[in-house]
Amino acid sequence: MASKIKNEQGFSLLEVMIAITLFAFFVTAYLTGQGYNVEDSRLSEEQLVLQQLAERKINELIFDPPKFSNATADFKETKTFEESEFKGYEYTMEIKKLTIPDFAQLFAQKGAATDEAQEANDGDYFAEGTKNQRNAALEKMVFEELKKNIERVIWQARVTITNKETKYNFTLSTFLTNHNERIQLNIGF
Amino acid sequence: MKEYNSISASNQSGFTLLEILIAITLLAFITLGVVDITDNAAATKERTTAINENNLQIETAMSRFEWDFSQIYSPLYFSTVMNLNQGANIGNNGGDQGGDIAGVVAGSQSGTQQGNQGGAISPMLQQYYENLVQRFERNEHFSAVSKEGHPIPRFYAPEKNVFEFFTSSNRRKLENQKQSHFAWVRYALAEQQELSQDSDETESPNIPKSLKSFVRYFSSDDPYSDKRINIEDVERTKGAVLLRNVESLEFQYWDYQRRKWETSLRTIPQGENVIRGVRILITWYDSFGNKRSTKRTFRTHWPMVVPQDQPVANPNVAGAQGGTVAGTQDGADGGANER
Repeated sequence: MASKIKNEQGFSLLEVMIAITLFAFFVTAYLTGQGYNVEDSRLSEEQLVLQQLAERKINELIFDPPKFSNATADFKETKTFEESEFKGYEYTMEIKKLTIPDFAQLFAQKGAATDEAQEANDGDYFAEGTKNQRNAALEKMVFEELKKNIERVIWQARVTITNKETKYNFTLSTFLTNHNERIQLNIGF
Repeated sequence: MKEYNSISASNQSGFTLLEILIAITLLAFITLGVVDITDNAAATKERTTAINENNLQIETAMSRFEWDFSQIYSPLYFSTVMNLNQGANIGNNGGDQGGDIAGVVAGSQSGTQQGNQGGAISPMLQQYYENLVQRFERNEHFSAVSKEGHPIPRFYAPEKNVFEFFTSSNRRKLENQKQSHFAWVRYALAEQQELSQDSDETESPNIPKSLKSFVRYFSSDDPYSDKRINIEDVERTKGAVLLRNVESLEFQYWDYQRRKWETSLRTIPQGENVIRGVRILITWYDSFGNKRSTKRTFRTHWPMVVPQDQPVANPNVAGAQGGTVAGTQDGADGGANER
C-alpha cells in the first residue's frame, strides 16, 4: 500500500511532456490540413484566371491572325495585360511554321527497290519490284505535294500566360490557317 | 507533500478546492484554445466554399453559353444561299450591303458566279423551290433557304444584352423521343426573383437592389416555327437563371471581314445569318457583395471560311483556273476586293 501511495504523487515531467507533445501534434496536423484547403482554393482561383486569359488570347489569335510571311515565322512577343485587374499577368505569343520531316526520313527504304531487283525485273512491267518502285515514286510525289501545301497553309501558335509574381503559368496552343494561301495540287504523271 | 503521504485507501480526502480550481482554470484555457481553432476552421471552410461557389457560378454560366454557341447552326457556314433567278439578281444587288444576304452573297460571288445557272431545272422542282423560299423568306426566325433547301436561321440581337440564336446543342432526354437536336436559345437579362427563404444560399446585404439575372431561355419545341421564342410561354420555353445580381451584360460580335468587334448584328455583313465569334462583357456582384467583371470570347465549331459556289469549269469564264480550290478560298479576301 505504501508503495502505491508513493506512486500517486501526480504526473511526472515526462508524462506531462508526452501529453503536451501529443496535443501539439494533433493541433498542428489540424491546422496544416486547413492550410492546404485554403491554398488549394487559392490555386484553383489562380488557375481559372490563367485559363480564362489564355483562352481569350488564343481566340483573339484565331479570329484575327497576323499576316503570315517569312517575317512572322519565329514570331515571339511578351506583353503585360493592359486591364488594371490583370496588371500582374503577362502573355507570351509565339507563332511558328509547321515543318514536316522529309519523305526519306519518315519512310526510309520502304518500297524502294534495290538495284539488283531492278535489274532482275527490268522490262517486266507487272513484276513485284517495278511495281514497288512505281508506288514509291507516286507516294513520294503525293507526299511532297501535301507537305508543301500544309507547310504553306497551316501555322502553329502558342500562348503562355504567366503570373509575374508567383510565376504560375498556363499554356495553350493551336493551329492557325493562312486563309490567303490556296491549296495547290499539281500532281502530274 | 506530507499530507499526501498520509493518505490511505480508506481515508481518501480527494482534491482540495484549490486543486480543482486550478484544474478547471487550466481546462478552461485549453478549451478556449480548441474552440478558437475549430471556430476558425469552420469560418475558413465557409469562406473558401463561398469563394469557390462564386467562381463556379460564373464558370458554369460561361460554359453553358459556350456549349450552345459553339454548336450554333446555319447552313451558311458550309453552303450558299439558294438563288432562283440568279441572272437577274447579280446585276441588281451587287452593291447592296447591310444584312440582306441575297445581296451580299451575290455581290461577293459575282466574280466567279456568272454562267453557273445554266443547267435547267424541271418546272415542278422550280415550283417546289419557290414554295420553299417563300416559306422561309423573311419570317421572324428564318430569312432564306440555302442551296440545299435548308432554312437559314436569323440570329437576333435587338439590344446589346439579348442574343437569340439557332443551335444544334439540344439532346434528347428519352430515347425515341420526337425531337431534333435543333433548338432556339436566348441569353438575356431578366427581372430578378428574391431568393426563397429555405434556400441555403446567402447574399451580402451590401448588394445593390434592382439588379437583374442572366437567364438562358431554351426552346426545342418546333424549331422551324416562324415566330420568335416566347419567354412568357413557360410550358414551351424553359428559362434557367445562370447568374444572379448582374449589373450589366453586353454581347459583341466578330466582324470577320473588317476584323473588329461590333455591338449590333446589323452592322456586320451577313451578321444576322453567320456569326464567327462572340464576346461577352459582364459585370455582377458576387455573394460577398464584391463587384466583379469578366470578358470572354467564344468561337463556333465551324471553320473560319466563307463558302462560295464552285465556278463552272468553262474556259470562257474568267477565273475558272482556280477550279477545285475555290471552296477553300477566304471570303475576307474576295469580299475586300469587291468593295
